Amino acid sequence: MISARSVLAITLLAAAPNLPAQSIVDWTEGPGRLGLGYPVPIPVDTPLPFDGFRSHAGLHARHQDLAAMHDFVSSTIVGHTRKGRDIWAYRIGRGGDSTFEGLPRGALQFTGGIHAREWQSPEVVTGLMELLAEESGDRHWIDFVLDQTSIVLIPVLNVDGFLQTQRYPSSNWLDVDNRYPDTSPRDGRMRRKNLRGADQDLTTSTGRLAGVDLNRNNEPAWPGPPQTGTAVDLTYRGPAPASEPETQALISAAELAPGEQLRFYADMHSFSKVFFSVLTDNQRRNGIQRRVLELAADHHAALPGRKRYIDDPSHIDFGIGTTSEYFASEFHVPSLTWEIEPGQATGAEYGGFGNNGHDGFILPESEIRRVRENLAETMTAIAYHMAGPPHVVRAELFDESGRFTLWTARWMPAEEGRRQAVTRSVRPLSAGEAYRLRVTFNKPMRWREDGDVVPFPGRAASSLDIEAGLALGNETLSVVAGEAEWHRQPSTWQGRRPRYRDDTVTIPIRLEDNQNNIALLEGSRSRSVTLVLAAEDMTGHSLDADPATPAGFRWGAWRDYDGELGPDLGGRDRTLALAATTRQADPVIPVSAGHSAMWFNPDRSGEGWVLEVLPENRAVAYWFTFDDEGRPRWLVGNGRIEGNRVEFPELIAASGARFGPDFDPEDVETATVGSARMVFDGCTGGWYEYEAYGFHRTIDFQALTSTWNAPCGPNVGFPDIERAGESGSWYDPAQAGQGLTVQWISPEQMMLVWFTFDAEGRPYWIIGLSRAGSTDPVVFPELRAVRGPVFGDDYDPGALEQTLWGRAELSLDCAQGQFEYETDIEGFVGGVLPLERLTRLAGLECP
Amino acid sequence: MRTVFFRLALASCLLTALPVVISAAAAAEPTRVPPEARWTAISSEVEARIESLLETSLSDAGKVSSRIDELRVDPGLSPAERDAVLYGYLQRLRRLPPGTLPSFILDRLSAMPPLAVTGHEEGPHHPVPLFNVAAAARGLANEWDWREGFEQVTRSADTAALAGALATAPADGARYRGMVAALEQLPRYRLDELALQCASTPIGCGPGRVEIELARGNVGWLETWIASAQAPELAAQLPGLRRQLAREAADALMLVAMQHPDKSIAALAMSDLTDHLPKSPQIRREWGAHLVGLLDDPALGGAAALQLARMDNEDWLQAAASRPLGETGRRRLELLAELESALESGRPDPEDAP
Repeated sequence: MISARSVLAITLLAAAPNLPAQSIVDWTEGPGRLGLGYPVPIPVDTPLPFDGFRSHAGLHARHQDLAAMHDFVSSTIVGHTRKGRDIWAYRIGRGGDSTFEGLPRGALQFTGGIHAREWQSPEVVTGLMELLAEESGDRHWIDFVLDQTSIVLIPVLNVDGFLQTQRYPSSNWLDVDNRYPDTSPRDGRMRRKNLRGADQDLTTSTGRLAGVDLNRNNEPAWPGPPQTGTAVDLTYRGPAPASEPETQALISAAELAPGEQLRFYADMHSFSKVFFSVLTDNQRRNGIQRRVLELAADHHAALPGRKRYIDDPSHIDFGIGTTSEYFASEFHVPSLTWEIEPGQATGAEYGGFGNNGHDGFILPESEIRRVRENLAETMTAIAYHMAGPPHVVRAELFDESGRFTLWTARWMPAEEGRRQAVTRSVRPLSAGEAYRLRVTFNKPMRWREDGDVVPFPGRAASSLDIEAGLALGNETLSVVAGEAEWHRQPSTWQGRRPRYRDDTVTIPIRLEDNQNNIALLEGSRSRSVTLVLAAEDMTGHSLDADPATPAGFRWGAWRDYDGELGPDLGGRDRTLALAATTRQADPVIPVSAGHSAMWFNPDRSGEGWVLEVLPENRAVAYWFTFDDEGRPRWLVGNGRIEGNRVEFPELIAASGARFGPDFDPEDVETATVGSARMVFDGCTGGWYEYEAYGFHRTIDFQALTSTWNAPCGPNVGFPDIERAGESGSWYDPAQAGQGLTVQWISPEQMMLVWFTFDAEGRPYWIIGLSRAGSTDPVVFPELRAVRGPVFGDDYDPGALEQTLWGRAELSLDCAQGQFEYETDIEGFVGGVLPLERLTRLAGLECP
Repeated sequence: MRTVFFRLALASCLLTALPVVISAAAAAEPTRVPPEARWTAISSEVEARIESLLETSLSDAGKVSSRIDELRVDPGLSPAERDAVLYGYLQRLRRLPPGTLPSFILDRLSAMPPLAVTGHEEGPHHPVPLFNVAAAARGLANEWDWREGFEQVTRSADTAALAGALATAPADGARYRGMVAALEQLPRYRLDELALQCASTPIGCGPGRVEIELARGNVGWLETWIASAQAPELAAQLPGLRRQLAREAADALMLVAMQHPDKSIAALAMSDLTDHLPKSPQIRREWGAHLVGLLDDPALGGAAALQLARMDNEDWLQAAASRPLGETGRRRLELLAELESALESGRPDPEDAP
C-alpha cells in the first residue's frame, strides 16, 4: 500500500518544475555532480595487465594470446551477443575430462562481465587466467590446479554492454532512471544491461534505458521480483527465462566443464565485498559452500589489501533470476554472485568523494592491480580446495638415518575406479628404535613464505599440525613423534603421477618400548600395527581416510570422502598396516658389490634386470623387457645407492640407430620414459618399483645369477682374482648407443646381454651364456633373441618365443676387448666390435 | 550553591545518560524498508531539518554533534527520515568551504550505522543503508581534503611549504590528488619556482616532482625519470604525457617508455604510439615492421599483435611476408584475423531496425 506521503512525494517529483533536465553528465576527477575524487579510468588497448583497465580489445587479445601460447588453455566461441559479437569461453587445465588416474576431473566456472559497467569483473577473471597460465610450472598449487581441475572462464559475457561502457568511459545519462532519476546514471559508462532494443549511440535517447539484465534472465527464479518486469528498469528480466543470447551462451559454456563435473560457480560482479551465495535444500552442498567461502574470505583478508568479504547466503527457495541461482539448482554446486570491492563506503574507501553511490562501480586505476592479483589468488585457493581432499599416496618407513628402506606402502589405481595398497616390508618395526616416516600426499600440502613453511594465508598456526601414530586394533600405542619436515623439492620421479613441492613430509617416530606397548604387542597374535595419519591440506580439508575409494563430487556433496569427522569432512587414515616386534631387529644389508647380478621375477620369466653396482655409491641397471607389441625393449637407468636401495630418477629408452655397418651413433635418440627404484630385502631378493609408459607398478625379484667374486653382505673381503674384474659394461665408442653387459657368474662361465637395435632402429637385445671353460676367447655358442610378452600388467611368460640369433666370441682384458659375432637372422649381419670399458664394478679389481 | 550543584549534577546525569540513549539507538537493529522508501523519506520536514542543521553548522558548529544525537532518536521522524536528514545535510555541506564541520563530527558520521536499511540489488536479503550516511561523510572528508590540497597549491605563495606538502602528503590520499590537479593550473613562473625548490631540498617533492615537471613540459627530466620510474607511477602518468605535452615530445617519451623493463609499460607506450601514428604511409609501414619484429617476443608479442590488428593491413603485411618469424611469432600472426574481427562492430541487431 502506498502511503499518502508517498503519493505526495511521487506527485511532487513528477510535477516539480525545477527537476534537472535529462542530460548526459560526465564523471570528473574533481568536485561536481559526478565528482569521483580520483582520475576517471580510461581503458587502454593493451593486453598486458597494468595499473589500470584494459579495453575489451586488450583483454580479448590477452586471452587469445594466452590460449595460443599455452597448450593447456583452449578457447571456444560459446555464443553470440544480441549485436552478433562472439562470446568466448576458455578452458584451462592439463588433459581431458579425466585426471591422470582416470577419475573425473573437477571443474569450476567463473563468469565475468555480466553487468557491463563493472569493469573490475573482466579484469579479475582475466587475472585468474593470467595467474594460472603465467605461473604454471611452479610444481606447487598452480600445477596442482592445472593437473586436477578444469577452469572454465568467460571473461566478458555482456560484450555489447561492456563495449558501450568503454565507448563512453566517463559519460552517462542522469535524470532518466525510472526509479532514482537524480542519483542513478544510465547507459554509457553506467550501462548494466545488454543491448536488447538499444542502439550504441549515447547521444540518442533510443534505448538508453533498454536492455535485459542478464543476472535476472535465468531459471529457476525467473520472473523474480516485480520491478524486474518493467522494461526500462535497470533490472529488467527479459521477456522469458534465458531469452537472451548471452544467457544461452553462458549455459552452453558450462558444457565445457562438462556440466556434470562442475564443482563451483561464481559470477563476478561489483561492488559490496559480499559473497551472495545461494542456499538450496541440499544441506551438504550448503555446508560445502559455507566452508569454501569462509576459506576464501579468510584467505583474501590475509592478503596485502586486507579486504574482508562476508558471505551472506540467500534464503532457500527465494531467488531473483541470477546466474548463480541457475548453477546452484541445475548443477548442485556451491554457487555465488561475487561482489568485488569496494564495500559500502563506495569510492570513499579509496579517498574518493563518494557523492554518488554509483562511484563504487568505478574502481580507481591505482587499485585494480591489487584487486586483480589478490582475487586471482583467492580464486585459485578455491580451485585448490574444490579439486578434492588430500589423501595418502605413499608411506615409507626408514631407519633413523633415512638410508635404509624398511617398509613401504603406496596406493595404486585398481579396477572400477578404485585404488589398492601395495605394501612391501624388509623387516618389522621394532619397539624402542628410532625411525623416519615419510608420507607423500596427492597434493601440495604446505605454503611457504621466504622458504619457511607457514600457515596458508588466513589460516591458523594449528593448521600446520600433523599427526602420525600407531594403533593396535582399537588401542593407541604410545609413539614419540618429532618435528615434521616438509620436502621443499618435489620428487624427481618421472611418470604420470604429478609431484609437487611440499607434498611429502618426513616425521621422526619411535614406538616406545614401555610396558603398555610391549604388553599390547605381545598380547597380539598378528603383531600388525596400524599407521594412523591425520593432516589438513592448505585450505583445511582433512584426509580422505580411505584412499581405496577415491573421493569425488556429485549432486552437491563429496562422495567417498571418508573419515570419522563426518560426510564431506574426512578424518584419520588408518588403512595401512605394518609388522611390529618387541625384539631388536636384525641389521639391514646395504646394496654392495654382491648385488651386481641378474635379477628376475619367476612369474614374469623372460624379462629381467642386470644391475651393476659401481664405485662411489653409483649403479646402473638395464631392464630387458618388451614393448606393447611384444618386441624387445631395453631401458637403462643410472642410479644412486642409498642404503638398501638404488634410486633411478630417469629410465632412458634409446632408439633410432640401425644394426650393422650402417650403425650411426648420431641416429640414437634417447627419451626419459619414467623412473624406478630397486629395494633389496637381503642378498637374494627385493622389489623393483617403476613408473613408465603409463604404469606405476612394483615387481618382486630374486637373483638369477651372482657375479663371481662379489659376495653380498657386510664385512666380506674380495679375493684378488684376475678375470672377475672384467665383469661390467663394454662398448665400441664408434657405435655409442649400443653395448654389452657381461658377468662372470663362475670362474668358468660368463653371461652376456647385448643391448642394441634392429634393422629398423628399434631397441633389440640378445642374451647368451658362454661355453663352460672357454675363457680366452670366451665363446658364446648360442646367442638368443626373445620376443612375445607385452609390457606391463598383461605380461604373459607363456608368450615368450626364443630365437637362435647366432654365435659370438669375446676377448677381453681389463681395458679393451673385441666382440666378434655372426648370425643368419634376416636384417642382421655378422661383424666385429672393438670394445672399451664402459663401467667397472665396485669391489672387483682388474689389474 | 545548592542550585549550582543540582544543575551540575543534572548536567552530569544527562551527559552520562545521553550516550547510553544514543548507543542504544545505534545498537538497535536498523529498520528494514523497501528501496522505494528513498522517495518517501525526502519530505518537507526532512528538508527543514537539513536546513536547520546547516544553519547550526554555520552559526555554532560545536552544537552540531548534539543536534545529531537528538536527531538520531527523534520520535517525530522515521528512521529512514533521520538518515535522510543526515545524508542530505552532508550533500549540502559539499557546497560549503572545507572545514565547515569539525573533523571529529565527520569522523563520527563516517562510522555511524544506518537506522534504515534496504535490500541489496543483487541480494535482496542483504541490508544496505537506504541513505549511506557513513560513505557520504567519508567522501565529504575526502572531498574537503581534495579541495584544501587544490587551494593550497593555487593560493599559497610559500614555495618551500608547498614543496614540503607535496613531498609529505600520501600519494594515494585526497589532499595529494587535489594538489596534483591544481598544478596544471599554476602559471609557468610558479612551476619553475617549485621545481627549483624541489631540486634544492633534500627531501625533494616526492612523487609530486614528476607532476611539476610534466606541467612544466620538462622533457629532459621526464626522460630520465621514465627510465627508472616504478611501473604503477608510470602507468598513471603516461596519459598525462600525451595530454600535456606536444606531440613530438610525447612521442619521444613514449619511445623511452617502450624500453622500460616492466613490459606492461612498454605495451602501454606501444598502444599510445599506435593511437597517435602519423598519417605518413612510410612511418606507418616502419612502425608496422617494428611491431612484426616483436611478435616473437614472449612478453611483448601479444601486445604487438593487438597493435597490428588495430592498424591497416597494408601497413604491415609486407613486413610480415618478408620477415622470418619463429613459431611464437607465426602463432601470433595467425591470431591477427581474430583480433581484427573482434575489433569490428558486431552484426546489426534485427531489433535495431526502425
